[in-house]
Amino acid sequence: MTNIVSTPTDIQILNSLKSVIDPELMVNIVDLGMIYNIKVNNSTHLIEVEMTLTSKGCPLGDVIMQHATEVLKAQYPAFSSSINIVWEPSWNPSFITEEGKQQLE
Amino acid sequence: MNLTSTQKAPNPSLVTPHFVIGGFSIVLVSFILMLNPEILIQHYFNPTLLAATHLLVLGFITMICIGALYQLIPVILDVKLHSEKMGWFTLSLLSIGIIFLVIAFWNFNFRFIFYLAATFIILAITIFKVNLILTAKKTTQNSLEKKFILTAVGWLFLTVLAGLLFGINLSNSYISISHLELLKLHSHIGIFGWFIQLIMGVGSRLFPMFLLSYEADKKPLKIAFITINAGLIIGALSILFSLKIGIISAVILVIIAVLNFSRFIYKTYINRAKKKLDVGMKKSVLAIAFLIIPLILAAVNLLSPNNSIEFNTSMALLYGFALLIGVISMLIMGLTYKTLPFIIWLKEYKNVIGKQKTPLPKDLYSEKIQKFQLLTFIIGFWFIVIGILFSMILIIQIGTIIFFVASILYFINVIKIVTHKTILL
Repeated sequence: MTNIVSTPTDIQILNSLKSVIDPELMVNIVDLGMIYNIKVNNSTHLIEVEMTLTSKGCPLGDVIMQHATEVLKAQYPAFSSSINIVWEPSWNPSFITEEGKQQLE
Repeated sequence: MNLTSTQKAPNPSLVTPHFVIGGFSIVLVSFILMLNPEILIQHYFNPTLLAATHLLVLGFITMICIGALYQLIPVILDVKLHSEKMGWFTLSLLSIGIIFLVIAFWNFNFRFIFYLAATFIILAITIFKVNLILTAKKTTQNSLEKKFILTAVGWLFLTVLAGLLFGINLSNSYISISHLELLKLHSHIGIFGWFIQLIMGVGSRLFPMFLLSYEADKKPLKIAFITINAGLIIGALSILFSLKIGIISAVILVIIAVLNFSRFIYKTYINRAKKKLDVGMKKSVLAIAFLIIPLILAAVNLLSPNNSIEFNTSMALLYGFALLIGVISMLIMGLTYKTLPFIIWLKEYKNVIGKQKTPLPKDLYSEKIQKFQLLTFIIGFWFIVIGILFSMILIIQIGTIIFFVASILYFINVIKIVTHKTILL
């Protein structure tokens, strides 16, 4: 019998990552506009996330990445994940979603 | 491998004692003021006030600035602190030195105990300076923040050296300049060269980061860096050579620097994406706004130099109090909540984040205490300011009692944070 693993969509992954909160700003990393790209590789069962931080040297960068990794591990156990921090384009407040802006007000 | 800021951060056991010693020092300072309110209407060159001031500037302000810098170096310069061992030496020598120095001032003894204190403090600051220079050497970046921080540490070193020379001069007079002029030199290079310049360097990075505001033009910061240092050099030389015009130019240059820095912070503030400010940030922004008070006092003093000695003395006291308590201490108290809870939270929870539900950094202290502390601090501050202005001892007494309560509340929250033990929800 073949074990069928359903492939998560980008939207599903984004929704999962909404549970990762920046502990200083108290807003999730998706609404802060920190997620740049998501790739799901079906053959290698790998989820690759390209994300940024609101500033270089952000002291909470590690824990945010760790939290995101743990969330993906728990939600998609059949997949491994790789979170890469990128600095291009550099983050600015225009990346924040409307929902995020409301949470910051 | 490129380490992240969290991995570059020093061991929390090095950073946290600075905050505990700092918190205890501000409680002691406010206790001294509460028991001796009359020192705030006497001439500022009196033993009790000198002891309290040095406990404030070294025990509270410098102690926390040093601890916070160890933590912020990876954030600002993107490198690891050169040596934690050197950090421990600085902490130990500085703590012992401060105790001896306060005793020396309290007894107005500028002999053995003063030299002992000076030796410990100069050693501590020298080690701190070398540690920061070696840390800065690891990075190729030549940012404005780096220049501000390194120059500030240079002025700190000169301040303690000037303090030693001043102390020697009090017991064996060898410089012909008056003690009060030398005191002006010592205090101004300390306040503007070390504290205000450090605030400019660290603040120019932290305010945009905490307020999510990266639109402000950095040109005012460049102007601030040049004018504050030019002002300090011209001012110091003018005091040494008694050049009145030089002193006036120096005051104008420093005012230009402060106004430019305030302009940068104002632009950052109005363009912020984070509209809702927490109490720590409110306190920090308010402290920058309070910079206007000493600026007005400096301008008044400059424009009306022929007042009575009593008026000039109370203006000088007010000016020092507004700068050290209204601006610098308030800012340090505000930024404590933006650093200390995160240090402890990372130490306690970094290995379980995402695996288990954890409290948030803001859950490590009491927000109620924090709000009440801000309120009592501001009320106490204004009572004392009005009391000094009108030489009303009763108002000063009430102000110092309220200020003592504010200091205790601050210390309670510091202790609450550093003694926090892991709670998994």
